[in-house]
Amino acid sequence: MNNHFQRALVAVLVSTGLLISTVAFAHHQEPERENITTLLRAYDAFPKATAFKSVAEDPRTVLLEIVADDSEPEIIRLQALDALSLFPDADVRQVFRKVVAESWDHSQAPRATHNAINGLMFGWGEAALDDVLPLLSHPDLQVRLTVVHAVGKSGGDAGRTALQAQLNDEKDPYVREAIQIHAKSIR
Amino acid sequence: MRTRTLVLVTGLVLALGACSDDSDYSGQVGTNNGANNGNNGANNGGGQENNGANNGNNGNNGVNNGVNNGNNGNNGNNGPANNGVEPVGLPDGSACVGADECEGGTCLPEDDGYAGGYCTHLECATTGECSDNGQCAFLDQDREQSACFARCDDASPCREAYECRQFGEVSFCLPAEPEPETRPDGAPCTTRDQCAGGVCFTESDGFPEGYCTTINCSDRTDCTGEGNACLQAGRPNYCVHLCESAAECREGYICQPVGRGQGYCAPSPTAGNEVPQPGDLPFDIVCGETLAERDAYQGGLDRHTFDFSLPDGTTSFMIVPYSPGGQIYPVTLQGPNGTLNMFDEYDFALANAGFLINVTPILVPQAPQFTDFVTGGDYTMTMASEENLCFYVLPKTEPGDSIDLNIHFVGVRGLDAASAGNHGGFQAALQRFDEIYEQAGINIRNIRYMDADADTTNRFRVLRTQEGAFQLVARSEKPGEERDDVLSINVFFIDQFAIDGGSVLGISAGLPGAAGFHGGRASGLVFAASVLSDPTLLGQVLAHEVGHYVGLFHTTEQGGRGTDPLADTPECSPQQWGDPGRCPDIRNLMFPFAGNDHSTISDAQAGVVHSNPLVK
Ligand SMILES: [Zn+2]
Repeated sequence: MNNHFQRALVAVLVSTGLLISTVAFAHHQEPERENITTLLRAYDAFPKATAFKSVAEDPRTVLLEIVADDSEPEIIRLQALDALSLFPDADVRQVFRKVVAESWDHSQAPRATHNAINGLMFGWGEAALDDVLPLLSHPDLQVRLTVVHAVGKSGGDAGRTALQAQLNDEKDPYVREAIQIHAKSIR
Repeated sequence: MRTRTLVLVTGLVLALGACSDDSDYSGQVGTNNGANNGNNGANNGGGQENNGANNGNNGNNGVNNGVNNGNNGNNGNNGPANNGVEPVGLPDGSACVGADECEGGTCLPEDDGYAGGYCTHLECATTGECSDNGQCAFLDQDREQSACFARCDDASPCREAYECRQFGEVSFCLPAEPEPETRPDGAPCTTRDQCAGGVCFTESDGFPEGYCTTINCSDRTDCTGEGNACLQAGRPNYCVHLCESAAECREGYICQPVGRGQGYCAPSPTAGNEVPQPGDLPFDIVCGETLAERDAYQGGLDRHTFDFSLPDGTTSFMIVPYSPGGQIYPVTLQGPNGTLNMFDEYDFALANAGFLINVTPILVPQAPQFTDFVTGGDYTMTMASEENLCFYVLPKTEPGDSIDLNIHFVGVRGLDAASAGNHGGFQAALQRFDEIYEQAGINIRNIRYMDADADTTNRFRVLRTQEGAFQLVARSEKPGEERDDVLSINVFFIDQFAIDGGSVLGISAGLPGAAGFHGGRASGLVFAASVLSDPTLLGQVLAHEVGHYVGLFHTTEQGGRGTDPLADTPECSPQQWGDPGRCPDIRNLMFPFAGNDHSTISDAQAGVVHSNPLVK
């Protein structure tokens, strides 16, 4: 498990009152967690929130467990982050925020950064712009591209306006092109 | 004889017959045709000095005032002014209010589009009947009504509201046509002059048949035409045509959503794609006129049919129809043993059309119950398409036992073409892949490792949309010139999927993909290195996506909303999805959720895989 990723998550979960050990988790009921994990292994179409609800009473809590469990393969924890955006609440948002915050320690951001950006924008839309827009100056080109894409799609007029303004500062041709493609709106 | 027809704004038709020698204009109206062409020039403009001296040569374009007698073999002394008498009244082409002002006795009225009136000789038979400056021509296409018009040149310009228009070697004054209407934003164009907004995005800009627009707009009030608005696209903003569905857009365009239920007509992502032409691949490609019926088929598309033959001993085949850019659908396939209807018993062949757009590979048989359809002989394929099609057919007579992979590394952390052969995890994944397909008697034979170029890496190492996968595989190139080279599967190994709302483990560009077709939307599959920490799972994902690419469907779709067309694969009912572990098909390779032991291949699935020409 990526240490930054894990530290961020533990800090969030503790702060929200959940007792989480980074070594040994009190796993949720095994059948529920197993079924959730199965859904996270969807090959080519991500399940809807209803699918997660149909196999677990409280999918959000199970997903938080999986995200924090470093015995799970990276891909499953990344998929669990994606799934958490289907169950947005304050705890989930804090998880995403922490992952985003940790990304600044890396010139090439951890993969989870992309899932967290998407999770914030997908789950909170325009209300998450303050969390996400600062990443437009992240050193990792791919992070900036993910921000442009996610904000362009879910950030509303305010998001698109912010992206277009970024053209004044952004020099990278890929990001500039992405802004022109994804920051479109019609007036 | 060619006939040029000009429709005037008045609704009158000016028909000017033009013989191979365009100089012979008056010949069309009079009978001064033929041998009298010789000295036209000398007779023009000479006015009355030529009177009486034109015998034998004055024919046609000359003014022929005065004495045309006896030499033209024609009408002779028609017209009131032609008998050596000074003409009375205003010459042809003059402004007039009443007929009595005109030498020719007729004033074409303003109501017919002749601003200020227009003096003429109506029903002239030759130019000789016209004023000195006149030219006799037909007013209508049926050549029943003729009139004299004022000739013009640089020295004798037309009066206001008239323009000097040239017909062959003769020019004369006609009412000026209004400025051609410019086109609204979103309309086709080739030059900026055609566009009301003053800008034309051309074919070379990626806009099929051009796209009129207004740039640097602020909102829709800056745009021209109905139903247009300002696309806030950064630099520059430009006006687009709004839409709710692709049906409202021109050929080659899609309705691109921009939120709030709004969309605009944008070039189709396949427009401008280069597709294989005859000679590009080591098998026969047929391109050309396949249109059989226009606007009469599925989805309002045109019906295209084409024939092909399969050799004796054929046990399976793939047909790959494609167009340069437009949407295509398979409709029917008729063969010696019957017809397959793609909207009925073979409807799974439509799955490709939804996302591959301009290429729809069809595998036959894609289920054992269609095995008897296949035989040597003549076939007819019917497609619905916007444009003419190309196609090729790959028949098989042997099941084969191997596949070749072209693995492209697209910015994967810690893994590239140079290191892949010695990368323990990656090699373990390939071994797992081989173990799974060994059940069907198939193994990997050749692997080519390649690194994506920098541009591809920057654009695609993190894939944020499913559409991006189709764009990525379209960057593939054929790995060699031989048939064995091109019948190989492109596998793109990216660093990560990051699709908002939920990512995926892999994407196959086709169910099945297009065997032998490199550089198109159906030219490979994509999976991500985020699975690399679990090599067994990685091998599983690769095997599953290759399964799609060679023609396998999910045994049961998520939630139990559909099953494959194979009788021997278990199915999971919607009720069982509450606990996927109870699904009877969970151990199958094509169950929609990965698991380290989700790897079995049924006999029918093995049969489908062996029917694909990619298995050699
Ligand atoms: Zn699948």
